Amino acid sequence: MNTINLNKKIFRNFIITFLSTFILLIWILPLIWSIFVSFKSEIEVLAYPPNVFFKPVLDNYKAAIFGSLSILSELSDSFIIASITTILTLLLSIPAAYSLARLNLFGKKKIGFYVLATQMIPPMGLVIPYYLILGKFGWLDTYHGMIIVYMTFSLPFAIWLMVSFMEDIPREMEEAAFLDKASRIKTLLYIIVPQVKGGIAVTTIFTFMNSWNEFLFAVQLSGNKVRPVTIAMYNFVSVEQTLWAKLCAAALIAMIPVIIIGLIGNNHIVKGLTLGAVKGGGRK
Amino acid sequence: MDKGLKIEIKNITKKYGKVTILEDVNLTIEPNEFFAFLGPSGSGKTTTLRILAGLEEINNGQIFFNSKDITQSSPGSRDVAMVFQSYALYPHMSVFENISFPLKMDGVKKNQINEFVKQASQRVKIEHLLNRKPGQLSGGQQQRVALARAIVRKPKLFLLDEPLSNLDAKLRLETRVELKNLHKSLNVTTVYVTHDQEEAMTLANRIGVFLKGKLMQVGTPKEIFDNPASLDVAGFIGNPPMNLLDAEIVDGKLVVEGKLIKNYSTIFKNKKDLVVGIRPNDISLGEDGIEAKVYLIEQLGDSSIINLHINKKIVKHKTGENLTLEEGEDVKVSLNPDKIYLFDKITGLKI
Repeated sequence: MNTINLNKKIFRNFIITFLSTFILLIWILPLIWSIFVSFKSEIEVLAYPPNVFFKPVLDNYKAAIFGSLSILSELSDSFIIASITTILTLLLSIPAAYSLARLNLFGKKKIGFYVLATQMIPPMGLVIPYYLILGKFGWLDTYHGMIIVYMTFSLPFAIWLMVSFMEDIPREMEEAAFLDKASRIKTLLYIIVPQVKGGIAVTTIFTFMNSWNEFLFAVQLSGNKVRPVTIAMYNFVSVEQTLWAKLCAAALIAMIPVIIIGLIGNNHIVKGLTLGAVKGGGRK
Repeated sequence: MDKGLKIEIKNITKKYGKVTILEDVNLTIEPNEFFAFLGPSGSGKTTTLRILAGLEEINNGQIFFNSKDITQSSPGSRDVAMVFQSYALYPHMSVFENISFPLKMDGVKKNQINEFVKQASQRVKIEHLLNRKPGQLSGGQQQRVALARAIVRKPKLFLLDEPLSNLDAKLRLETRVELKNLHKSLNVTTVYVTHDQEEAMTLANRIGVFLKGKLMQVGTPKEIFDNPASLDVAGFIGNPPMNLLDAEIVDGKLVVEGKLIKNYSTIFKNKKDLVVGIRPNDISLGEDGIEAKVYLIEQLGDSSIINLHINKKIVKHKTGENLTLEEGEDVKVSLNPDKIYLFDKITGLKI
């Protein structure tokens, strides 16, 4: 009986390992391919069948950073847009989520629904309206224009996420703070915010990542004065040729900030996403 | 030393939607008194405490602290400290930060904060735990931190919401004594919510009995025990509570289950719908009396509770004697006529 169970277990583990490796490979293969390509010369890239062994060169990275097609200014544009979007999203979503989670607001349920409903509209349907709106204000191709557009996506998500984190905090904790003569604002700062650090980390990472990786709106609503790094990939595509090696190098460089933020916040993301499931487990 | 806080509660009513939680509660708590709200869960005692703290809004009524109307005041402005049943410690702060939080919010200077925290933590014997986080403490230690956080600010009023209910039995008895001492040394008006009669009786100067959202009776522990004002209170106070048996007066004689208990000369010569209350200790088993059957015997060590069936009703008899009874045995029960309480079954009031 026991051996059968044990065999079953081993078999199950084998299947799980096999499946997850397979899925991981599907995910990671393009990345590995890009890394290889980024170290090849442009001629080598077009060799068919592809060479597994080749002499790696750093020319593509040099070109993507220092050359005439440098993506440095685009990186800085993306960094400005993504970080300001993230900071503003946090500053607005924390008090908004607190009021939705705790205060008896008039029409609270409707507001809550609206916040989620905005997430249901496909972005494609919003491109043209946003183009017209930003155009009317003269905000096309500006930092603030892009930041506001990105915030319309990040804010609802952030609020929704923070509300669920805040609702997990026992009300008595806040009541204790009120009796300790803390005002609402101080209660939020000293009692609530430190306890939703996980949620703040998750919000930060998701907001930064989404606005950094965004392409559709970037390409439609900006592109001349303000050029997010996703658009910069077009630097390497022209009518005559596509510079695949340099494109890959640029794409890999553009990934670095997101990877760094992801690694820093990795623990928090896992903690944050699972904390909601155990509802206040570990806290008393 | 200044005079303590006197609390007056006038005509308080609290509703959640259509459900009435508290109905027309009136109460005066004297300065420096240790007052207990006693009642089963859902009786409105915690709600009343939270109303005193300012954490619940009321539909009707007023609250006065030393004759000042504070009905609409915010919790922070009332200068009260509360120990929650769950303790509500701030999990991300150390014990020191937890205790100092009310001082910090009150704008107390840093060197004074250290001094006050030291005093408060010594008082509840947790000075060695100041660097720990609440999650690293046992239930009893957490409870002491909550107490320290409450006393550190030297408030005018202490509110304790079932502070001992999460402790194990031994610790509960120890902490009970310490609470009593704490109240003696601090001498601050204290309101204590509990469902445990023993706690209320041993700790409080006076008790308010809450039942079904009403304040049924207020008095000293002895008054409440010796002189329950109504059937509800009689059926709740005492461990086990009073036995309640249907009775009537026939020709000036009190009759229970067909047996004459005693002559009864009051305004009534004949009256039906009465209830006789008798404490489990005031029943005796003997040759003569009401017929009963032994149903179950509970051994308590120094005494035992004998559950008797009288006309399908369970009557408890508590005795220290070592009786050789068997379950299912027929016995005769007599009630001590000097120790009976008589209630009107319809109004529920004592006669």
